[in-house]
Amino acid sequence: MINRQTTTAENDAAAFRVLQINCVSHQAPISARVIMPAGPVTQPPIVAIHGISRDCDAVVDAFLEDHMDLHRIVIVPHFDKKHWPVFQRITGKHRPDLGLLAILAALHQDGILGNETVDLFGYSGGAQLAHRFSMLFPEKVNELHLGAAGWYTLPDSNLPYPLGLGNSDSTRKSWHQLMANGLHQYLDRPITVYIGDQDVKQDRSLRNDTLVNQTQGRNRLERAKRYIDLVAQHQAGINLPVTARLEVLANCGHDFLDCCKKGGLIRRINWTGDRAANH
Amino acid sequence: MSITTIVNDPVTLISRAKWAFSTRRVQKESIVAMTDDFKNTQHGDLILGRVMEIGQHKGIQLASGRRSELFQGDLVVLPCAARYAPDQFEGVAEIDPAGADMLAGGGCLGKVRARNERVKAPTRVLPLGRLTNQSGKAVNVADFALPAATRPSNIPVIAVFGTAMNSGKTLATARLGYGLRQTGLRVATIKATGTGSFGDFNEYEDTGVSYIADFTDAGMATTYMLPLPRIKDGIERLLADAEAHHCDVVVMEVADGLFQRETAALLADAEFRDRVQGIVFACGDAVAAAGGVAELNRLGWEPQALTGMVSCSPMASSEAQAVTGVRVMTKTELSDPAEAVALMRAMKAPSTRWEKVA
Repeated sequence: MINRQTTTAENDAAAFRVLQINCVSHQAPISARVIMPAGPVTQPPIVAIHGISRDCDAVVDAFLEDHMDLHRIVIVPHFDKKHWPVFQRITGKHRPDLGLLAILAALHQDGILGNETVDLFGYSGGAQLAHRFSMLFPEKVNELHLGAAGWYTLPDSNLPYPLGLGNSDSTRKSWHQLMANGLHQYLDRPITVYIGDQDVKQDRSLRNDTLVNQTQGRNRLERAKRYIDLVAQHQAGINLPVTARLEVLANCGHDFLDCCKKGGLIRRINWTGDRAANH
Repeated sequence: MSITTIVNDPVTLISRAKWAFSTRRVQKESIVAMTDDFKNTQHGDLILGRVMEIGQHKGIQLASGRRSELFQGDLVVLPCAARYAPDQFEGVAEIDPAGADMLAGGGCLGKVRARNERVKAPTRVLPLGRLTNQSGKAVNVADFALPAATRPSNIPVIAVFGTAMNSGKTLATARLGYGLRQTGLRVATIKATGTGSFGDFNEYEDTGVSYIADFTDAGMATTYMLPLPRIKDGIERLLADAEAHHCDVVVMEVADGLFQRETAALLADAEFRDRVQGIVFACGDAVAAAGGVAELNRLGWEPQALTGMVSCSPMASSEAQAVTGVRVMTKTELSDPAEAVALMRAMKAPSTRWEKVA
């Protein structure tokens, strides 16, 4: 199901358009903003997931900041609190993955998307969902861009899901097996983590328990570094190209707008050059 | 115009007749006459008849996809065909000029050989003629089949087998198709063998998959008693057509139980085994699961999942899983895109769009 409203940039001859779409998933209704660039589309579409503030407008604005250089369709889901109290994790009760699939299906139905894979970006809580969705549906995702996730599901079968891909008593469904099943495909893609060099605070929204601290580190910066190291190690271990990369944003903490303005986060995500050579 | 010509002109009659679902590909304008030579009737030949007596089948599944109530005197067009249905009839493709048996609601006229005790005698149809074309040849559903494949298809196939009729194969096929469809894949759901019926076809279609077809599209009203090469050729036509429709994966139901004549022949066929990437097995309880998996293993098959009625009961599922070592999946799990795609991935389907991307 798709309903749409269109907002067009005023007083702009080469206007981009922002569509509002309303979809229905098995879990709940979900909406998204879709930025249709003014110029030619030369990059794959990207899904950009907000953090726990659920401020999808901020994400839209960040992508529109350099809209003249925007050459891709940007899809910004809105996981509203009423219908999606938890959207960071995928569990039996909370299925944000179905929300994302519903949006992609509706856009495909509407002719906005073809059969192509999408790039996926998430910030903070959105980065948690982004990497878990990619582990579950690696075939749907091209490049993965993770901004300052609080913690990660590690490709490690010794840790119980959702910390790792080991068995867990906390969930009836075998998420660990489903994700382990697609792990090879998951690792076979560019995975970039962006993190502010000052994102070291243990704020209230940061998961802070002994096992996470021990296995991933005490703050987001440390966790990002360890995650990339582990992913790179796994890629090398199964003879895949090592595409896991960490991009540290200078003079940035955990504030999304700061990361965009000072750290050039969106510019880096949209970078089309050789990431290995330039970052 | 002579009386003979008037009597043998079926055009008015066929325009008033109820055409069975299994005739849905037939181009009516190709029919110009009919013959009363029923002795040489072949499997698939179209018979125009008049309902004599209402029995087990009180309605007919129309080519339009709707059920129509049957009344004495109704004109009907049905293909002559054999039927295998342990819970109804076993019948052969023979037409008795004095009265033929309606073997299936979807369109199958023949002669009953065995009847389940719990069903009524078949609805009887008085054959009026075997329909013929311009050149005097009998019109057969095979004349309107999809074209033969010009090259071997390459599309991945997940086959769904079961212990018997009503073990849950169609539901499993539809739900797995639905689960995969939600991931963005273009899914084809196909019924490879059985008796032409819109029930399964409509159940597939309701899931919104990209392509639906059954053996009637390959020119067979039913597949019972047909030679294996013809059935395999029909399957290949359907797979090629699904591929031509840019589908990424086929979920294919094979009718009846493992011991049914054509199903058993397909399972024992090495070429067919090579063509299928994985199988899901539908069964009613743990004992059926144990027996079915053992039989499949004996023939060199290893099902990736069990489903069907057994999956409705957590206790039966545990028993089945413990005795076979094969995971039991409910219809809800098959419908879940995460589960469905993991199942497909485990089958290592080699040439999906996704695999190409990855």
